[in-house]
Amino acid sequence: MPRSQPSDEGALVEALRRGDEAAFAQLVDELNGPLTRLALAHVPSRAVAEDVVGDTWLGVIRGIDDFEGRSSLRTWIFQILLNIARTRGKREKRALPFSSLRRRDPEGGDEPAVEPSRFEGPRGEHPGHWARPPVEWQAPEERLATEAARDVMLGAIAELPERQREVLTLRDMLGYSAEEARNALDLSETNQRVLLHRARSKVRAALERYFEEAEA
Amino acid sequence: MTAPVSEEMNCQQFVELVTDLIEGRLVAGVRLEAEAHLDDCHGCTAYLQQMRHTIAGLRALAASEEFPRTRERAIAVFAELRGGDAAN
Repeated sequence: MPRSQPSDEGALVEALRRGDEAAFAQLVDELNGPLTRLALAHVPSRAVAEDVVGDTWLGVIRGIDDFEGRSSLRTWIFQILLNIARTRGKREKRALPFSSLRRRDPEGGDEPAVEPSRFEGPRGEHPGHWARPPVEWQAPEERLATEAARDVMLGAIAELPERQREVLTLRDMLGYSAEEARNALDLSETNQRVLLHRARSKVRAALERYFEEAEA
Repeated sequence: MTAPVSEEMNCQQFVELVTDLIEGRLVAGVRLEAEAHLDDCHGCTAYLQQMRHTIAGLRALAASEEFPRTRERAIAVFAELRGGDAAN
């Protein structure tokens, strides 16, 4: 992802080619977390994700001499990771019952953001308005930082169709821009936004249930 | 998702526009409708807030994760295969 100026990037590529360990360590510090997080969008466990990231760094170390600068260095690294993670993810899926239960449509189709039963029906007094409106969450920052809330978020993410999980990971978890996510995942702008919308909506719904249960 | 909404916007329509609203991708007319709807609707105001908290929660979750094992391994592999320029 384009996080630095092209001139810095040229110097960084040169440093990596020379074998500058400090430059490499800095790059690892910047990207290791994001890469592992993105790998986890494809593979079911942290151990496998770490393998994928290890293989990615190996690909970077071996491939840096051939890097042509047609994309940014970071985009190139993310693409190496995505290739490895997608291949590995397919293999893991064959072995794992949990993902055989996954949805058939990888993009999630045309699902509503909120259960239709939350709204008044066509014969209600105010059709399409909340029948059971959301309420403000109490102390959301502290509560969202708890182990239990994290598990709820990770559980909801694990349930997402793959493309939604990729977009959510890059946009909301890693904070990349829409354009960076589109480039890394090769998506149209509209598609990127639709996937993000579906994914966020589902994580919100899971958190809403969590807050409601905690307050009940 | 940015198609103009006919007549008064309802809540079911609003929730489908929330991402476009947060992303700043609504055309002006629809944005005004969405803002007018928010002024009158506590439920949708809470919904929008929940969505913002969700995004912040996801961000904080990712920021708190650490993966030290892969870091050390990657640096060791680099040193082995390409190293030599660490001392300068």
